[in-house]
Amino acid sequence: MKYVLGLSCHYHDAAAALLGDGVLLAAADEERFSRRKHDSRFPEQAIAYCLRTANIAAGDLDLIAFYEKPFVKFERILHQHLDHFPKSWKTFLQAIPPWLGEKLRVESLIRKKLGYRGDIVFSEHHLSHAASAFYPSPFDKAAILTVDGVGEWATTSMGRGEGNAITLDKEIHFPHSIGLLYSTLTAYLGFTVNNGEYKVMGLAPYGDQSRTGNAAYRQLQKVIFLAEDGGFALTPEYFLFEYRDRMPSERLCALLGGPIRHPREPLIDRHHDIAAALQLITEDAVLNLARNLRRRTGLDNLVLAGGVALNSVCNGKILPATGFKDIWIQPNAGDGGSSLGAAAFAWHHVLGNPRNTQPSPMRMSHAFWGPGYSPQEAAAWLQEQGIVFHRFKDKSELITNTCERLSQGQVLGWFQGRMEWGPRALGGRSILANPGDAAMRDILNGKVKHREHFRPFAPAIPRDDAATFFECDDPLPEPADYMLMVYPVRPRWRDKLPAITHVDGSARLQTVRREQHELYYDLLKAFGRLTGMPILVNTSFNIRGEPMVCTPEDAFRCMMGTGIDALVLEDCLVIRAENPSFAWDSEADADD
Amino acid sequence: MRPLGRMPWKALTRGFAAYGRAMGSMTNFILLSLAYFLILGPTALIFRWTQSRKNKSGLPQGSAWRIKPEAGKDKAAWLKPY
Repeated sequence: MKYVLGLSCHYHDAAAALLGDGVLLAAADEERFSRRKHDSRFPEQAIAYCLRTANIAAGDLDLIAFYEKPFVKFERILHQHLDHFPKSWKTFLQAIPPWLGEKLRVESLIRKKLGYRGDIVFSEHHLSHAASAFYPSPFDKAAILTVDGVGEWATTSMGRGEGNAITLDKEIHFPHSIGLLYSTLTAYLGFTVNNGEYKVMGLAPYGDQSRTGNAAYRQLQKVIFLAEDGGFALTPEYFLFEYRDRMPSERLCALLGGPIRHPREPLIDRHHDIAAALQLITEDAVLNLARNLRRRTGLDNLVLAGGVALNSVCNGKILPATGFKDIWIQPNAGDGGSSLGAAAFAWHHVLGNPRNTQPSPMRMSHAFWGPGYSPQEAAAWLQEQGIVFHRFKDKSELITNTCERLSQGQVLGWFQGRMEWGPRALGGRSILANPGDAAMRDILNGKVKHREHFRPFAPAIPRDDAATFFECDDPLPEPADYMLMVYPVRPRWRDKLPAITHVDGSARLQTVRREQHELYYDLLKAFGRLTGMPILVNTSFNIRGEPMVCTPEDAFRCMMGTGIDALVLEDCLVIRAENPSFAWDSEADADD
Repeated sequence: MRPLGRMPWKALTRGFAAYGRAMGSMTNFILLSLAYFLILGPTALIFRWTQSRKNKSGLPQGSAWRIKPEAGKDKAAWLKPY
């Protein structure tokens, strides 16, 4: 078997992915192992996990693929400091040392850390994104769109994929970037860049959704110019990110009618309207890109990647607005997913391996590519730690007991099978609750997640039941399986599903197919039989400021430090009240 | 004279380490500042002068699309980090 390892690191979300003869074997983000959210350091532990899964050593690898060309990125960084001399002095002093230290020497770093002597391929940032979207997709032929903050120079690219060939023929360069526009406004609204963008997306429905009525929308139209050919350009006067460590300029603050919001300052209507305007402008820009791409290629299928592809509200509007008939989005659409893209690009494009089978060997039909623990391993660990637990005698008892607890209003940790690849919990490492309970949102926010009141919770539903409860595209596109599409809840169900219906009546649903996760699917169906609604609140198994749990120990610690009532860990049930309180303050590290 | 065993070795070691770190970052600071003002500065001035002669309009006013050259299949080119 030929092994290709893909790596991404040194910006945010370091990750590793391993292919064996072109088939995806394992993939994981480093943060899950290091327990540092968005960890960007060299992904040693993720690599170790990938190699362990295939039972090989680094010396057995045939190729390593890195997700971008570091020297080209460095050129861009020098160029932007050159452009803004002498104002860029401060950021120059901050940005250059890590480049001279590690980032430029990534090849020797890989060789040194892994003891690897073979070839190392350096893909390009947006080619890696494109490859992560096209090769694992179900399409033999598709239009490709990648949109993020910035890679080497490109911030947006478009092209097409056919068979094993990817052609990106147009791109937009830094500083014109939809991702950086979103991040700038995220910083303006007092949230952390590269982490708070999805909070802004959750805040947007509280603002004025009308393009004519929202004054902030009209103001933001001065910040970005949308061209008829699908392109766009930012107005540079409103941004400082090229040469300062803060992103919005004074001019942008004046345009939006106030200073940057302090993180502890209360959110007011003006902030809500700005978040709504940003969401509308982002949708305008992405839909304009997608419409143009559709016209240029004439293709029916679209694949999407890059950080902006995680904007599920926008994703839900693409099919009706652009003429594309189907869409596929990489579940780990940000930089973490580029590790898989780099490996796929190396396998197909550089090594020339065909992709002529349907389905393709790299086809990704689920997102469970992280580490898993057998029921025996889980039980052995609990026993070793002296933790009080019960074992279900079979699957049916597990499902019945879990459903009863959920219907009684309990909040459960759900740890089953392999961990998810990407930022969303999809039933491998989830916190589950009853969506029909009106108080559940406050219970989850207050006792468990410790997060902002305005953020919605997502529903999980069997794929075959989705159309009954949600106004979704027909046929339902596959990215809904990865919580990447937002659709309206059907009006008659909104009052019955208060915990998952957002203020604008929408929900970021996760659809579940039985072949993806049998136990999770059966649980949803059983809950439906019990309550009349086969839907559960599904939120990531973590607390604010921490990555999702990875191991049974992480899960147990998270439960004991929060208001989670019980943990269903493989076929074991751990009840918090039966175990001595754990000396771990769940809020201690909650900084964001 | 203080016997060697009673010297505050721990405090001294920490002090030396802190001094080393400070001098390391101070050296970085000085070298990078020199590089910035002596190398990047003149380059920036020349760059700006040539740019102003080439394109007086500055940044693109409309769409910012650029044509991307086709990604080649030559493996040797992909082995380069640039």
